[in-house]
Amino acid sequence: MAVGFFLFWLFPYPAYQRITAYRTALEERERLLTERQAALAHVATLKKEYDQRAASILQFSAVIPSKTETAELISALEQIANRSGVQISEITISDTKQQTQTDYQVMNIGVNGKSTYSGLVTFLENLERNIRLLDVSKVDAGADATQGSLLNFSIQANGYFLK
Amino acid sequence: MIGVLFVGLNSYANSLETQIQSIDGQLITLNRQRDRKTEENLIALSKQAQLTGQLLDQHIKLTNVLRVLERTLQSQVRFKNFSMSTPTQEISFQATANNYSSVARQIASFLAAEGISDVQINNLKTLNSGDAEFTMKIKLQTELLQSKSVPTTP
Repeated sequence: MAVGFFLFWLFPYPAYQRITAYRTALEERERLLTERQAALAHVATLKKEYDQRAASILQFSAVIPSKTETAELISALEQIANRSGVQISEITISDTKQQTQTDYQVMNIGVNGKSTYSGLVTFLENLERNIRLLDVSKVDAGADATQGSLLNFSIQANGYFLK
Repeated sequence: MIGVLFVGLNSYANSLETQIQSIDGQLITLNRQRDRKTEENLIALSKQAQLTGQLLDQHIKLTNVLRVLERTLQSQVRFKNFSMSTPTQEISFQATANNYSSVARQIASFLAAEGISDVQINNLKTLNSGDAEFTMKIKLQTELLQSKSVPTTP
């Protein structure tokens, strides 16, 4: 009897322990496989919808782009200035501020220039309505020393992009 | 009997091991089939959708402030320079008026305007021309800076 127990402990028992461990591992992998298959199918469905609405998504993505897109921003500022009758003398785009608790980063945009008061208001309006979200944080303006009807202005704004 | 049991259990364990290896293979294949570019695009879009609403709600509209200033500005007051800051929600400016009464009317007009919470005047003095020169600081309400429309009441 004792020999029987000893032999059972020596041979079939380790095999039984292996089976228990394998069954747990198998269940875990089957669950993982089902989840991965479902996720892959879900991504495929979303991709189909994404492709169908690519043009709208592209436009929507411009509000808060995934990268800094500095070139596009400079180009947009120039177009806005031209539309508003504003003469830009300097654009500065400084290093981004690290936002620790948000999903976005902020870039500081500075614009110096010269225009009439109504030109400045139109410029600000167009900045506020720009497809890429820009929040003006500071405006300084004063009469130009040589041309009294014009204002020298300096604008600070924040632009956003994803982390 | 122990021998038969051992062989049976061992064979079952081996079969389970084979099944695990097969699923591992399928998982590796599925991982290779992942369209990572699409996944990145979808994650970015999801973040953008979330942030756009949030940031649009806090979107600053400084032109609202300018419209209120234009409406409440007295005809005898002329700005020399101004500075607007949204983090401090303040406008400070230097201006001239034809007399002190005009300055007083200007203060009253600003205080009556919707969206302006406080007006502070500094450094009021008479110039050689007889005009009054002053610097003023106006405290703005958040609602005015973020409002989609300009308040209609002066």
